[in-house]
Amino acid sequence: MVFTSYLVLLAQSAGQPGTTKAQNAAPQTDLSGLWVLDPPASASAYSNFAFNKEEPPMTPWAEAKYNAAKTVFGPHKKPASDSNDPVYGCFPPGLPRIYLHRRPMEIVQNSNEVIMLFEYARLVRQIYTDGRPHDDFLDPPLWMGDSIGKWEGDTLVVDAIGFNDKTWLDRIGHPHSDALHVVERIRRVDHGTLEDDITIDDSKAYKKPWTIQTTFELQPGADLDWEGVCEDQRLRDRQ
Amino acid sequence: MRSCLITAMIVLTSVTACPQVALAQTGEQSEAAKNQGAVTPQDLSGIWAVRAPRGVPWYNYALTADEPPMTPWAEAKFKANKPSFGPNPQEYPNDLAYGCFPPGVPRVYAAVQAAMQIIQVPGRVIMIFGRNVRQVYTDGREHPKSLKPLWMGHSIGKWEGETFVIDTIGISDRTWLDRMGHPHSDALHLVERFRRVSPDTLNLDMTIDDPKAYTKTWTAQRTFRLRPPASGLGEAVCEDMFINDAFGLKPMLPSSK
Repeated sequence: MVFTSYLVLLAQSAGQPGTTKAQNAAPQTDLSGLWVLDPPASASAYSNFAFNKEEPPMTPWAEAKYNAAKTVFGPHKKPASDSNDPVYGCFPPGLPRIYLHRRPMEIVQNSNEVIMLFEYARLVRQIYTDGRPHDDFLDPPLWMGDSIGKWEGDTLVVDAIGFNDKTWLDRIGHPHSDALHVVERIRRVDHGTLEDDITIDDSKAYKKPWTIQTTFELQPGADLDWEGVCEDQRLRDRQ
Repeated sequence: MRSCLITAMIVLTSVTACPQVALAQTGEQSEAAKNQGAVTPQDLSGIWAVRAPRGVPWYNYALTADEPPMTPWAEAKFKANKPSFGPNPQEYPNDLAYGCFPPGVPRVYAAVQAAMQIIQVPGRVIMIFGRNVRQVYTDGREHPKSLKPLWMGHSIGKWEGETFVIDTIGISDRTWLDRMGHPHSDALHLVERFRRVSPDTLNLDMTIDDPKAYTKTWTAQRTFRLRPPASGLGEAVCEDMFINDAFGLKPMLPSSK
């Protein structure tokens, strides 16, 4: 059953190179492929460390955490040795920050879930699409959150909660609380392009929900490299 | 339940089955298979957990009950390895997996909570062991002629009837074969034969061939039970054990290579 659906999905995708828009009768629900964030050239001044040019509407609680962040990127950058960026301690980057690192993400899917395999930090994100609710036992909370998804036509709507408050939303230290609620609307606009509209809702850290628009580019023929181990780099740094 | 911090700390091979799930499951074995509808023997997809017999301690640190036939070269390495598990656990281990390095194969199978998710896509079988992803190429390619050491090796697979045969070389000799420190060399050649003998049962026969480390080829077996799809894989973040007042959010590295 599971395997059969795979074949159907892949058979579909093989027959429609870049012609999705013409096939609205049968919504495109195959996101599989190797993807990398592809920000527009107009965002080059900040796209290496932040999603948006505008400052998100921080609460005083978030401002204080933001000011305490010692970042390696952005306008207030410090040397890596002085940083308190969690990824320099080999901790998972969390969401949506992991996209910003611009390393390949492979999406594979079956009838139960959509799985994102992130080369950066070697993380596996399971997005359950079988109708299950969020896990009601999220203690301790998770680095990458608990993600469930549903298809609305050709858009995968992913709802993620259950995050710990140790990760940053980007590489310049915008914080979040454990009340973070991330909603992503992911759509394959053509064969080689994925769009992900992300809503950040965290009333403890931000005065109102705010949004991020991202685009990913397909990397045909590329292969995930699962060999980069953060701790190995730290060991080499020490030697 | 989904967050298996305790499991991650105990098992430390990035293996992720939640013990609660594994225990709760034994009484309802075929539930998972029923939920997945009809399966064919050439469909290995699902989440699989090792079936560890009660009262057999070596299942949690070794591949076999018998000592594998080490060469003098391997004996010396075995003595220098300081494991956290097994009959002779050390207070100050030099087990790289304790520094959150990948466990390698076949070590991923040497734990009572060993679990894996198998996903089949055209040209590949993807095996997920916590954060360690193995890609087994089924598109007919050969191993590359030159290969740098890889944490989980380079794997090619093919079907022989109802048996899926995985051939792996290029496994970094920084990994151990098991959790009690049996070493291997860069000549390790691992052959795994997976067979889904019933909808919810997967058998694994592995052959370990490493003439530099072992005087003859030896074998080990494991049986896996299908877990219900709803059980999920959990988030096993090894680094969680580094979060404490002493370390802050800093990695803790093993005492030596």
